[in-house]
Amino acid sequence: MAQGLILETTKPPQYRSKTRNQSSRLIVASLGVDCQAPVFDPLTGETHFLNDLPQIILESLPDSPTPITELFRILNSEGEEDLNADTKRVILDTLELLEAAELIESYDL
Amino acid sequence: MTNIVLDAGPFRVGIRTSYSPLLDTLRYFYRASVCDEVTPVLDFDIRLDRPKSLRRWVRPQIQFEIDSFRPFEPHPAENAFPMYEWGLNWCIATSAHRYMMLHSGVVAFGADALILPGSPGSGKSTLTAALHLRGARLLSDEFGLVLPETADLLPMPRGIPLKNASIDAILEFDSAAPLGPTYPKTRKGRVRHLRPDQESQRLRCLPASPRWLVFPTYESGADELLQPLDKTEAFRQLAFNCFNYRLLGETGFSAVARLIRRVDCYTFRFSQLDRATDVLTGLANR
Repeated sequence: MAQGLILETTKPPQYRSKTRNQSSRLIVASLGVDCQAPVFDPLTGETHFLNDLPQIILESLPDSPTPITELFRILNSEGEEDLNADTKRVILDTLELLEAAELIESYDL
Repeated sequence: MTNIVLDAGPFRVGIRTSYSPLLDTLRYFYRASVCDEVTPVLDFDIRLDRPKSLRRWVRPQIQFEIDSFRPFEPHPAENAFPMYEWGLNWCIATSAHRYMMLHSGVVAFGADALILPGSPGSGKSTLTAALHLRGARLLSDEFGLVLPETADLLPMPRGIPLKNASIDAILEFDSAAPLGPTYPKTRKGRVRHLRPDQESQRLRCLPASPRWLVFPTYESGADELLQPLDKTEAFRQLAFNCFNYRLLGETGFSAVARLIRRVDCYTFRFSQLDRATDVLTGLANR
């Protein structure tokens, strides 16, 4: 029920990774296990510190606009059960943060 | 007008002045760094002289000039040496972007560098001075110069400016500390500089490998406490303490990452210099 609530009460946009060429690709500095990874964005000159989930989302997000439901499916491709509402909420929050950081782009349906 | 050329680590600095007290002080601090090449190529061509005005007779001043440009207002002549030091800092900070510049003290134990980044008031200079007096090689106080492609630290051994209570703290720590003249009225209050030892000046071309990164905080009356610091947080704080991190862009990012991977990271709270130097020299002896 809660799962449906998210999808019914919000207008899930589509997301896609930001268009980048060879010289503007994100650069990730791995500092070891249990560390957030510093990520450098050559397009903005900003350094971000990302934990696992935003890193996974950045790696998984296609270049073309992707509906949120499809993104849930991609992120859960190896899962046996559907993502629960809490997990979807965390993913949506993370997408908003990534968008605010100009690391991804969204499109309203 | 007298010319003197100094090797300040990777920089060759020409100083022209007819103000003899300044020359005396430069020779006191940097006798072992005087360049004896006949026709050296200068990185910075500095002139410090008294402006030709009535003040010349009433209240003598000194004017800092670099490549015929005067970035600062004249200062009282008695502050010529601090003005030279701050002026050279300005020259480096505004032009030496071949290097990553950390706002940090750096000393070395053998080939291994201990980096002490810190904001003003953190006790960075005092701690750097104390470690140097305990025998660590001085690489730098104000600028930790990092070669971006290797993350090695380049020496630039110069006088360490001690301010106000730090002067007394250092004299209490070592009453024989080689301090220069007292400058009672500068923009930063009372200032005295600690002279870098001859060995540090002699090894001014020898880089050191980053080994320890310690963020000090002076806290009056506190017990010394050295605690490991998460590498991500160390990255964040080091980038914050880097003068030209944003300007260097990807080069700066990669250099900080390279350096962080090579060091053990700590925070360090301290109040007593003798105990503090014991703790930090202990790192090198482990």
